[in-house]
Amino acid sequence: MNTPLRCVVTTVESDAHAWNLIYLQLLLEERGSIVRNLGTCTPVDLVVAALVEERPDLLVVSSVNGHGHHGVRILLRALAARGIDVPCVAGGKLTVSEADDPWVRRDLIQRGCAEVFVGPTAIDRFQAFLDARWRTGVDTARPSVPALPGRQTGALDQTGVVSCTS
Amino acid sequence: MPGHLDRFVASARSRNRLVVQPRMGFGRPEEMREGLRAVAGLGVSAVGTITLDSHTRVGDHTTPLDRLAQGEHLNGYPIVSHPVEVTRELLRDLHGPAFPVQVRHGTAQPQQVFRRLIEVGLDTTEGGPVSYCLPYSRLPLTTAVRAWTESCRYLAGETEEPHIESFGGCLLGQLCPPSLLVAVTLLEGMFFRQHGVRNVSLSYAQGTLGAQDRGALRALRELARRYLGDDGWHVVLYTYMGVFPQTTHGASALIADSARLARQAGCERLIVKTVSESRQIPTVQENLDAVRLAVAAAAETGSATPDGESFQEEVRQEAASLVDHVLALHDDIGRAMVKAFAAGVLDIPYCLHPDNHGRARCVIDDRGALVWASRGNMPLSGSTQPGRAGRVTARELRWMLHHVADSYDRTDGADRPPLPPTTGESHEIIG
Repeated sequence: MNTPLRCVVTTVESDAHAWNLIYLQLLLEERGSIVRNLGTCTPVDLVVAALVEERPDLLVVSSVNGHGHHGVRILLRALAARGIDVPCVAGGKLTVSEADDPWVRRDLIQRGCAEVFVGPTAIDRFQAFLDARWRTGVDTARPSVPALPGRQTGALDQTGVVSCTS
Repeated sequence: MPGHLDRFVASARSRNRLVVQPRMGFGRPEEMREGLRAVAGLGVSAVGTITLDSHTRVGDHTTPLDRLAQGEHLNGYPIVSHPVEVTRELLRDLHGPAFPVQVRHGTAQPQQVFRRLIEVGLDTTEGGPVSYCLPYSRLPLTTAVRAWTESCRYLAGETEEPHIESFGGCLLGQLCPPSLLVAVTLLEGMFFRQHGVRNVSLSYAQGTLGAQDRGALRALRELARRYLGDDGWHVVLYTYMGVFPQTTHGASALIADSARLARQAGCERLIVKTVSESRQIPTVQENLDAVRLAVAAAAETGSATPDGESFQEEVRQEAASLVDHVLALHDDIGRAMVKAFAAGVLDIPYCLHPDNHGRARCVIDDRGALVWASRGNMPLSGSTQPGRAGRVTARELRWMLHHVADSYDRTDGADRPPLPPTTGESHEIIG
């Protein structure tokens, strides 16, 4: 059994959405990862401090308020300025228009993201990314998930996108 | 004076009209004015909204103007960053008795927002010390309570008939049993009153099952009369605040159902979402379409024959128990709420804030209703769902978060349970 993947889950400072973070924490924990969830509205300094303290294998930034592109750019600059080279992935609804998705993804990868997950298959691609990079061995070992009513979807959509402020 | 919102809502109620309000915010003053003007021009009982951007919500008042200068778009109007005169000009000939404008912001420390909304001539806003702190902020709850105390007193001192709507009926937007939503909005309403703001609205977010929502809304009105008296309050319903349907037909059906629910349960005001909610910040046109859709659905709906009595009874008992236990903790409602969260007497399911106990869990049961999987320390009786012990997997959570969106997207309404019978001609509002 490999060592568990250690992740820090965060969002950007202006984003108050929580469900995406709660969902990602559960998803990662069920894969056998150890997760520190920094919660909503995370200032850059707090993320930096957590990375210095935890030295995780992966930083997961999820944002759904439309300001994620802006926030992730600032975060990447801060990480670079402090010489922190933890792999960083980002995803969710990163600008106010979904038409921006392709160029936003390219832009953030160019600025240092290991991968960016936007659009309807974001979660599937995130899981495939994790599978390709880190095989935890946990998937085969854990008990099967109890059956649930409703759609057992293969094509998961966005990261629990919720628009619930004011 | 002015107190436009309360008079506008009272007038609509006397004419048996539902007041509909979009949730709308744009970064540039000209866009914001255009949006408000379009809503005002619809010729329906609509209230205007200036929704603030999320930089302003966390107290960053320089980034919004920098980003606008670079040609970027914001997700709301930065009312503190734009000069007072600019916003006054934006509101000129729009905000008034026939078209009240409310500021919606999401700010845990709202002093600057309150100061500015008074400076630009407004007196109506929303939020609350709990509802804008625990779900949306990193600030300690004590800090938010102090900030909201100060802000309420300031608003009450500077305006004659201010109005604050509690956002307590939303909390995390989904997966919260109605009794906790009802308790928190009542407590926040009482908190506003205690600090001088007499006119309040109590909120409730559409849930997962119509009968449960109708029961909960009736319980809310009963308890509002008990704790706040017969007047000085109204109820505002929020169209579903969780993951929204992605299809146009699914989103439209959900919006229309929320308008019907508002009518059936006698709500005075409805805040709508739009069909593009799941994808992006809505345009002016999408907001207008949503308002029209809600007005049309409301117009064809009468007040319902009471149903959901067992839900009503359960919500009334649970919410009253929560409110009474909190009020017993301290005469100052703000302090009482701080103590309540510290002890887990109030505990918001799934909320990550360090001041939340974090032991409560909610699930969707076989009926489609929101129920407790774990009550934590809350003074609530009743049994937990068998075999759960409050544990929820990622897949279950995802299924529950998307349950409403998926069921509305799957069908255009044909195989959803029919709406309850309405009294048809009798269009009186259940008060």
